[in-house]
Amino acid sequence: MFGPSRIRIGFMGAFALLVMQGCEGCGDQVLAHCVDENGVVVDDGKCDADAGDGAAGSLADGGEADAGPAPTVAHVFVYRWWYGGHTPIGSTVPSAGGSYVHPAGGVSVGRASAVTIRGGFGTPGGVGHGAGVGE
Amino acid sequence: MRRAIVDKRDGWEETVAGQGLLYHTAGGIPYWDEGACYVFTPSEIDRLEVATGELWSMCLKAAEHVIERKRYAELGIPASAVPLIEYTWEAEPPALYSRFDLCWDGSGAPKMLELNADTPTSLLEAAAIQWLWLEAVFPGRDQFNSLEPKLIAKWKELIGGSYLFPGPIHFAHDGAIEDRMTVGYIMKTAMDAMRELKTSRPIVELRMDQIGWSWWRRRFEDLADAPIANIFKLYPWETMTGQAFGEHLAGTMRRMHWIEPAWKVLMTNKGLLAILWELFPGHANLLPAYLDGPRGMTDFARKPRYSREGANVQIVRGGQVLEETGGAWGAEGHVFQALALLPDFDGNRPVLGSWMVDQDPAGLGIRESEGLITGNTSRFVPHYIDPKSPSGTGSYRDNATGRAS
Repeated sequence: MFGPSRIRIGFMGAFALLVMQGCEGCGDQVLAHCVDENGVVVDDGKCDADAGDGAAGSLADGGEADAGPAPTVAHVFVYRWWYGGHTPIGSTVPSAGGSYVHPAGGVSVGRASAVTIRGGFGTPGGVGHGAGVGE
Repeated sequence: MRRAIVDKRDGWEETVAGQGLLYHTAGGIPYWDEGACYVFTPSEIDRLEVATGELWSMCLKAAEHVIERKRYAELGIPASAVPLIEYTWEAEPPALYSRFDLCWDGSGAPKMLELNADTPTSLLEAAAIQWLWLEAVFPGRDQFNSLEPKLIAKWKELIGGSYLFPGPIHFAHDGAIEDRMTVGYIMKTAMDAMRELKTSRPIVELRMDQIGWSWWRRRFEDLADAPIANIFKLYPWETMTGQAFGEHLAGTMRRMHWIEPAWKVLMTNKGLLAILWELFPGHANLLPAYLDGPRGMTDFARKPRYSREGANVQIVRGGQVLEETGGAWGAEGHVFQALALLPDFDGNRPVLGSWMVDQDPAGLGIRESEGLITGNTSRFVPHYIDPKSPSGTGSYRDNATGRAS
């Protein structure tokens, strides 16, 4: 689903920066976000649906690909994948620190929508037989 | 008010464990101690109830004063917590319960030692275990205890009204057994309310560290990655706001209810004792208290503003440290409160936990210790009301076969 069909070299610098910075809770993963034509994160289903009709599927990996002819079907520009750090649904992806190009092989890619980080409250594993926090 | 010696029920450990009190013995010493009880007259209970209601009204005014004058820094409250406090104070999201700790021997006015409004524990013991003890040992007697019906009524109001967001009700704790008992009991009262309402909502229990954050959906989630919209948590607000997920609290506060709400952090802050004394100087139920030092007092208790379970408390008498406890609190600052020595009933010193459910006084739970500081190893001792009870600070023997002496 996230496999690159074309890679735009110009994006690689930003992508490398992203990988070096990492992102909270991602581990070694780069996160794929489905975005609309304005770079606003939308539900993954939009990209999945486009991927299913053939024409849009090729753009899900990067709508601004340098190689190959420009798409001729208008709606194929609407939804595509953006790869970068945590960006919530409804927010616009940052102009720097991410890429519309699928990471090169060897980089783990996961859907941002599937990532839930834990451990931000409480004691890891609970306090067990330790003292409570009540009063 | 008197302390009575009573016979323990045969097999009391199994009995109370079967009722949910798994933490009945700590380090080989009974935490639940039914070998003694406190006996009150109806008029003494009336005085406790009136004092509790009056103290609650004053605490609300003190909290309002702090918010209006923005005196957060004086109480050691971080700036990040202020939007949460102010929003929840105005929006009045669901709030459930609190407990005053009072110093009283039945004479004079009960004195407020502190208010535990955010994460009060010992609820199961106060609401259920001592009531079941009363029914078994002193049937026909009464007890200052309407905790369970009031908690159920409050849940009915929340669930039956439009006070909760759609979806499950989550219940979170940090895993300690004593905290789980309180959370489990609160869950039970919520389920009782749903049964009475003939409705249902999913109930989900989880540990605080199992709460998830989805950046993509910008929401807190449970272990099934389902959204958390209504959550009762037995976990201090002052700790939550300083932890990694604390940064997400303000952005989600309009879409979810944390019970207790964030404004309770003002009520549970011991700095409120000084604000109370400033606003109501000389009130019979208050002790002089100051934020900036003992101000000439030679007999006082120095308490951290965010202490739990009697930790880091220092008792000073005649200018000398009489008793002191360790712990990890105090960096946030202290409050200096005039010393009110807990009464001595044959070497046993009770602190009276006077409960509130929502805005109403709701019951009494007593913990006693040998020392002057009530900590997490103090014993819980039940009580009952006897219209003919004499008062005194000695211990009397009561007939435990069913009739009070």
